[in-house]
Amino acid sequence: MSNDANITNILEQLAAGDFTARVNGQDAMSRAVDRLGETMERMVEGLLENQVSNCMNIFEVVTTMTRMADGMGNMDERTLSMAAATEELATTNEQIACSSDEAVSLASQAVQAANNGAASVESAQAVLSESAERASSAMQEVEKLVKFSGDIGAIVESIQRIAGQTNMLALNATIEAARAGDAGRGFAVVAGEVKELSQQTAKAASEISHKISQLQGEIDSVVGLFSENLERAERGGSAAEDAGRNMMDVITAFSTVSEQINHIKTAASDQGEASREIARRTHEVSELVSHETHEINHTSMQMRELEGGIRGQLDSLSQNKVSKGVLSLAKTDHMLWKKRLVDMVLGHEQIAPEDVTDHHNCRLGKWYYSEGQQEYGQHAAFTALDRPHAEVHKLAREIVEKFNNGDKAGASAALEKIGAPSDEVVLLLSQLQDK
Amino acid sequence: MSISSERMIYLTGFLRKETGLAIDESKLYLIRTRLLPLARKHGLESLDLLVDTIRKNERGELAAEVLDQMTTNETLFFRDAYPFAVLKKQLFPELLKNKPAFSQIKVWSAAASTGQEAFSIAMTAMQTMPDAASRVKIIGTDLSSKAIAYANAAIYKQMEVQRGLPIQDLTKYFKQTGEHAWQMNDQLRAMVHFQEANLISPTLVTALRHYSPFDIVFCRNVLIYFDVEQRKDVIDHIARLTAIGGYLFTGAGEIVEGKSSKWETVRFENRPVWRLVSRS
Repeated sequence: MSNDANITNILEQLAAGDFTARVNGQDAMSRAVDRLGETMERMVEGLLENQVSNCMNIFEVVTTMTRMADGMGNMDERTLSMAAATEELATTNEQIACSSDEAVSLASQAVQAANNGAASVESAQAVLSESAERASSAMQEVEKLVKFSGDIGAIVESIQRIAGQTNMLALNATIEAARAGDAGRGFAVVAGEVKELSQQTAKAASEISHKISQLQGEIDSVVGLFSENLERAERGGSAAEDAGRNMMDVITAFSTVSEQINHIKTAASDQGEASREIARRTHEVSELVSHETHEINHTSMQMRELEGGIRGQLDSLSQNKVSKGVLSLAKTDHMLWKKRLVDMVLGHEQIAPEDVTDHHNCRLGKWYYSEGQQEYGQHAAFTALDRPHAEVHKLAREIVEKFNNGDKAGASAALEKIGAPSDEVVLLLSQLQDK
Repeated sequence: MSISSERMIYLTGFLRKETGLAIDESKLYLIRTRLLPLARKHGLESLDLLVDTIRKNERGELAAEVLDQMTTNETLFFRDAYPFAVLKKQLFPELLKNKPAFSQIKVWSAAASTGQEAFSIAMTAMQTMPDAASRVKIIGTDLSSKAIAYANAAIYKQMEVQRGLPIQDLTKYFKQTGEHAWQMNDQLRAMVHFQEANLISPTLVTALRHYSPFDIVFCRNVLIYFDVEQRKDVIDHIARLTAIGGYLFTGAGEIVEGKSSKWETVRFENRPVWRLVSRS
């Protein structure tokens, strides 16, 4: 190939985006073309590296935002449930205040009833003592009656005595009349009559006496009844007095109850107000958290859009061939994977296990085991790269498999572990770029 | 963003009519925080616009979403602990002894929300009786279609399984289906049937008659949201679906008193549990 044709060919390669093409000639033209190639390669490398670092930063931000949004979402749920719980607390407190209100009115009704009861007991007591008084005055009357009947008995006795004496006199008169013979015959008749009369008188008197003793018996039983009644009335009176005292105790107790329920009511309604205030504030907090969650989701979405744009630019830049391009791109490749794994675990993306390649088959792997080996094989950083790189792929596979098998906790735990080897890969790649 | 008072009156009336929720001016913040995100989601600029939209179609999807949002779906596994201890120590053994072997033990979670209570009952049954899977039937109802759909899927978030659920139960009865997701196992899911139901609706009794009479009813932290009249109606509805002598668990501070039904309190673990004496 002539030198001109060679230069044309190289220029065309450069134009097609292969900035690694070189003429390697000694003439001025060839050297100028090669310098152009080098400058362009460095420029594209620089651009690529800038975009890569932008992209990585954005990945970090998006990942952080996604985790934050997830955290806020959880917090949103928690504050909502806290708000619901405090709302219920407040309502319960109000309910208790309401119930104690009812209790207060019931207690005061009870006090009222007890007061009425006490009044009734008092009037019953009055009635009883009045009847006891009446009974005792009636007794006094009856006792007078007993005395009267005793007096009558004495009179009857003297009548009987007189009748006896009269009888004796009549008998004597009869005897005297008999002695007087015929002259006394008329007198004897009169004496007989007198005797007859005195006997009748004695008989009547003894009947009276009998009646009086009957009357005395009756009076005795009446007196007995009266004194029994009197005693009952007295006992009733003291029972009523006891009842009255008990009623007073009930009233005192109920007043205390009523007072205490009043305290409870005040406490409950204070508490109700306080918890209502808490509920109100908690709802406000929950509103704020919801708002923040909304904002974060929104920002997160914008960041994702930005990320999409930068990835697009990166893709078109990576169409150009520059010697260190693969090192730059490998960094974003691995960061992108880390981000996808986070998204998957948080439920924003699905990844099939077969999507996770072996560490020989990713962009970095393919390069590592062929051209990379030739170019950088002697560097310690290159040798060191193999282990963390393999580790990143192993963990990624583990995370995806665990997640798809339903072991979310295991996937999350493994995700926590991928950070270290992934950072190591990025660090080693940067070291190689500096060579 | 505020709401005009005329629309506020309409909205509270609508909520009251549809759900029995008694919401007043003091709870404006509830309306704001719960409905604003919904308005935003539907591209409505203000709460006023949201209210106007539901006003035009009270049976529409947006109206249903509003009702869903406004109900407080606060629940957790084994909430308050004592009802489940009572089930384990007293009620399940008592029912096992007294009910014939062929008849099922029926439990109703009357405000099931996202299902945690119903599943806590199911887990308790599994731990108490060997044949629980066939012996116990649990019905979970809730006003919110969203909550019922959630309960039917029975997939709980990390945060939810961390509230109240012992770790042994988590590993025993759930399988992990995502980083933050756990699903209730099929055997327990088969013990529970979820369906939408409105406790204040007159058709409630007809809708659930088929599953009744319930031996045990859980209706906790619901009555507090109703006013007195509605509370009594709900209690009577529950009574009509409960076996005489059946038990009712309520939240703390909730008093059970119906217009026609009679209940008595029994104390277990030093907490009151209500027992149905008569329906009328």
